[in-house]
Amino acid sequence: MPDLAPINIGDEVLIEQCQSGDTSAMERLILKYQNRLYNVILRICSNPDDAAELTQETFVKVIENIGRFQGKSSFYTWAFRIAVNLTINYCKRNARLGLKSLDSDESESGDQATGVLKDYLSNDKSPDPASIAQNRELCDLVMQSMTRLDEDHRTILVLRDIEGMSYSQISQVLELELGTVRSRISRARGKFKDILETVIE
Amino acid sequence: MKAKQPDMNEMLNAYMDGELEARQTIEFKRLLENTPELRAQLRVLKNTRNLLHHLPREEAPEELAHQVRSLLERKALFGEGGTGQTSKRVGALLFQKIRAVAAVLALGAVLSLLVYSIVAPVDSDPGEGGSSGDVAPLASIQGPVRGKLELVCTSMPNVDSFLMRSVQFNDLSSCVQKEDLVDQRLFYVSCDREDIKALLSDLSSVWHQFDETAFYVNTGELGDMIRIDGASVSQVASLINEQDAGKRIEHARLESVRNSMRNMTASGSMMAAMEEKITMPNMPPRPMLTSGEPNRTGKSESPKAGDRVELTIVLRQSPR
Repeated sequence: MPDLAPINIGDEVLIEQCQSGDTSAMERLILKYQNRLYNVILRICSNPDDAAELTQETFVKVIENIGRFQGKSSFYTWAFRIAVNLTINYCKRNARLGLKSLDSDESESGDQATGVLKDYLSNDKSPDPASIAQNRELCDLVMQSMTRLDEDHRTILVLRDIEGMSYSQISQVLELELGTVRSRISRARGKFKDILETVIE
Repeated sequence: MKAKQPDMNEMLNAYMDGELEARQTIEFKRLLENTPELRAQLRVLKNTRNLLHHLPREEAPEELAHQVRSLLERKALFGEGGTGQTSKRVGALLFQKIRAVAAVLALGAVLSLLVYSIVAPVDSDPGEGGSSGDVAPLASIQGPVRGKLELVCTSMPNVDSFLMRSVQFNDLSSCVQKEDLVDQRLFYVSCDREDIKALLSDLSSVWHQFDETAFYVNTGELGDMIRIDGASVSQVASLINEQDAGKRIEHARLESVRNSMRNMTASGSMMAAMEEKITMPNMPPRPMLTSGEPNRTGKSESPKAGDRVELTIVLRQSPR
């Protein structure tokens, strides 16, 4: 019986192929990571058009620099470091130029979503996760609340709670000490909880 | 006591994230059992984290690879860098100008070909391998067919297992690498034309289950692919069957325009009805697969380079 268990094509193999100029390997690499990178960038910058451009730019940088990638860190954390640096710089530059999307400051959300959020946060039982994803208003409310965090706190929450990175991976992506990662996650979650509480009040 | 509060929060977060050492975890568990306040804090913290964790995953725009390639070209041409608004606009304007010039040139070339095909003398006695009066193909590069097939369906696991059975049945396990991502399955198929035909033939029996299909034909450069929305299995098969790369690309462009027009026009149903009469090239209907069927034998071992097909099949779960 032939073994058809899913094969995780190693990044190392793909990178070697990319380094030798194999364009189909580059496409595979893009295909493999495009959704995860886009999702993280989008949750940090909150604008789909900007996120699309930043994702493209991330891949351009990855391809331009892949010859110099020596595998000292994993490709995954290296690519995310590029993406996060580009995104944070972009957000900071736009904030300084006053270009921040007005949408992100609008906190008008339906009473229903606010009510659901209140119930959810105070719920003793474990709520159905699918109900969160399906409630568009609730998701918008959560994302609007995220935009009230500063970039550093928003980024670390996105990497941990949305992308699901370990503390060690985050420390490589953000080039921070493990202890700093730990304290920043704690502070970011505390601030996020405070923001949510003001939203539901 | 208050000074220790931040440390406790850090411990609570690290405990929730599974980032405490084994000994610390045991100690913290004990502390939790004896501190209802801490348990309540942990519950709220978990709910807050889950809110973010279960946000819907957004997908990157399609044809991202194509856009990456355009960006790389623009950078090479103009030394453009970064997402600065000014350089972006200047780059975009230059790019638009170049695109406009390229479009005019392409239009000219297409018109010339059209005129030539009308007025060119036709050989009344075509010899072997084509007549001397035929319009020469735009390119006659021979090489493996490269492409991507995107299939979106509501029952991804069923189609996934169907496809895996088909791979096994057709004795293609050594030609297929599979990768399971959260919301999609990737099949990297590298085999000869006959094998891919067998796979497509099997797929044709479940093609009606796909909510969306798209076939991308690679033109040979990074990210430069021609996309055919709503591709039918016969379109995919006939494109793969085309041995001449130039003709294949030309054919793909026509199919792409044709499908776009069909999607846009109200007469789409009529075109679909017409298409049903077209039979699939070189593809006899195949029986549904069952687990007891024997594997196909006598598969050609090393196909010629020109007969090779490198196809990435992306199977996605429909959000509906």
